[in-house]
Amino acid sequence: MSSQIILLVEDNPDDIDLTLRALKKGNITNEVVVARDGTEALDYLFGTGQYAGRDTGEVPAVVLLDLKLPKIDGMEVLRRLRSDQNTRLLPVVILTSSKEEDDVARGYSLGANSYIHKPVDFDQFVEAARQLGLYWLVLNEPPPCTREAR
Amino acid sequence: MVIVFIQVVAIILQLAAAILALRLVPVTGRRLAWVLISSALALIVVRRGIALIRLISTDLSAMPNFAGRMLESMVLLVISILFVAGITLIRTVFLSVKQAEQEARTARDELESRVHERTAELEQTNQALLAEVDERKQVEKALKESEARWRGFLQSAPDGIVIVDRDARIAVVNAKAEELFGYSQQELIGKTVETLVPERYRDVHVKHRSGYTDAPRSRPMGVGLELYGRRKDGSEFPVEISLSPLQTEQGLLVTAIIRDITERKRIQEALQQSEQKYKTLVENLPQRIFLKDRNSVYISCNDNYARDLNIPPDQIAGKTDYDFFPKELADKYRGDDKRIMAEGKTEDIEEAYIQDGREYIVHTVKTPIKDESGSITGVLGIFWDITEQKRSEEQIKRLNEDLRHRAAELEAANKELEAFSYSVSHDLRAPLRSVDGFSQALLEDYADKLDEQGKDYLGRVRSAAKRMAQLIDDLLRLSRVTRAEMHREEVDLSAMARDAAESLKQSQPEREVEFDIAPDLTAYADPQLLRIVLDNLLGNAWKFTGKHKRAYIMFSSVQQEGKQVYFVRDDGAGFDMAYIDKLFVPFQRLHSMEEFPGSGIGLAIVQRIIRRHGGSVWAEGAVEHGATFYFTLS
Repeated sequence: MSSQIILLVEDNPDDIDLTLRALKKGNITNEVVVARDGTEALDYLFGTGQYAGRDTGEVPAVVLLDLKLPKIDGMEVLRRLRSDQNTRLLPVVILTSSKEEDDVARGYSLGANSYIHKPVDFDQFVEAARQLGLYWLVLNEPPPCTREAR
Repeated sequence: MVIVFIQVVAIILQLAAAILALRLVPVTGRRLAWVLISSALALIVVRRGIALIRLISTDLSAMPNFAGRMLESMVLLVISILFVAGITLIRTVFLSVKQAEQEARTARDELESRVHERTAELEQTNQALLAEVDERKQVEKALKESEARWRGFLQSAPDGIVIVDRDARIAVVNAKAEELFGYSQQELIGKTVETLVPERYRDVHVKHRSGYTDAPRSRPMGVGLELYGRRKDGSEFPVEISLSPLQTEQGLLVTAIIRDITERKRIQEALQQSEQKYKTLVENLPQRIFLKDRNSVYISCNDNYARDLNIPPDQIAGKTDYDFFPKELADKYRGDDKRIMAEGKTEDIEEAYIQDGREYIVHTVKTPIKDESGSITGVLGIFWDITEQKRSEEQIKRLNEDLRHRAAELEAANKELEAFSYSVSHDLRAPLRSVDGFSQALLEDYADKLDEQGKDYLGRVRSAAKRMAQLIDDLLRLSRVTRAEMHREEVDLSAMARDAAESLKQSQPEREVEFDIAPDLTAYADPQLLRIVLDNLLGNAWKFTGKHKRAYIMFSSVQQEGKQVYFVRDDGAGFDMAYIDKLFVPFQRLHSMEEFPGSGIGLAIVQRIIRRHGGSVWAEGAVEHGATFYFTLS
């Protein structure tokens, strides 16, 4: 279980560091792959671009997706990976600063599995990261096709 | 000898008598009688002959008694003579009787033939008479029929008919006349016709009718006059009478046909009234009204239009638009008339109109006028000045355009604001997270290198970052309240307030706060937004009574100027009315953070929600004497 990969899609280096720190503080020791924009995330998932040749059979256990990204934004990433057979059922957690109802609604309608608002208070952020890891990496039973593909 | 002679003569005489007697047969027709008499005489003759022969054969001289014999022969002779004479006499008598009889018969025959003749004659006459009688009967029948017809006509006539003689005495009255005047026929026959005339007209009627009988002819009576009939009960009714003379053997009769025109007069009057009304209406309408014929020549117009044209209304007839308007305009008017009459449809036209050199815009309704057969005879026009209206319309249009323009600008601004809010929400928070996160990292990872003051500073940095995050959230809430779509429905405010109160009690169960919430307060509003209002107002009341041991919070409503005014009242800290204008401004606070925490956004949010509902919100309060927040909803 602990070898399962987390794909963190985040462009803000501070947030990357803080997220990694929060995950670590929350005792999530899984490998975290960081994609700094939407294109990179899709390249990783579909084995294209800089990730050409990557074994796409190896899918992450969960994707932590920021919405506001350069180039291709988070919603578009979600839409594309939901329309691909291989990543159709991949658990995606939107992790964002936005509390806008519109974003929440759009995220869910595009097939997000969860929507988490990044709190300013770092203590709360650590708590959120811990619960997130516990839930998606330990409690949650991954979808069958993800397992098959693995 | 002498005796023999005598005797012979006697025999001859007797024979003659017998023959004569026989001859009487055809005279008397009494064959048997005369044959018997004749036979008797013949027998006597035979006996006398035998006696004679014997005489002769005897000697006469020998005869005893000559003298006796002589006498006997003489007597015989006399008897024979008497026979002959008698028979002859009888014959004469008979003959005379017969002749008389004959004469009588002839006379009778003659009479009879004359009777026959006469009878034939009579028969002829009779037949002629019969024919005549027949004819008469026919005539009489025809007469009767005609009379029946006439009577029928008379009785069934829809008008009253009264026939009077030369002296104006009523001779005939029909049923309708009886009905009209309320008299029975018996009551009228023989009376003068003035019985049926109202008393005040009787004298003049007598004069008129004698004038009529002097020169009788068929004509309506009293042309141009209003005629009235008088009923038996004295009431009067308007009539129309036509008179016609009838020369008869009994002299001049005058037939008067009388029609009750009450109904017609009523209709006429109603018509006149309606016409008068219509005329008054037309004359008093502020609109200009005109009527033109098929060739767009004016027939009439109302006073208002005539005044515009500076002519008396009765002088419009015969004029055309070319007499009043510039050619171009008149051409246009005429063109419209033509089209409307050709198409037969009413049109609404907005057009130019010039009066006293000033140009106006008028709204004209032109309608084709049709006669009874449906063919178009002209055009009716009604128009009124809409210059002002047009000007206002244009102004409104301009204003509307401005408004549209501004709305578009506003929308653009709103979009910008939304984008701004989004970026505030997302981008402004991210650095704060870094500030807080790395401060925490410093505290954790470098705790041994920081003294207490350094740690305190980092703690302040963190709390400032958090407060700023709270401010950002509040700002976003405020803008969300403004942008959120409204869905109004019937809202139970009492239930909503009870719910909010319950939450507050649960948040601080140790507090002694009495909530007094009026039942059945409802409003037509957006439930989510109203919930925010009540949460804020009741939350404030809860918060600002927090320093008191006991508190009383009330939610109710009053009627003010026909409007329902809701209010939330508390007996808490209150506020100084001098700062009332700062109460609803975002982030403005009347208390210190230490005294009562908060960002000062709540009342600003309340005000926005109330305004979005078309209502208003205001407050009353005094320091340490509580506060009351009122609001209305439209």
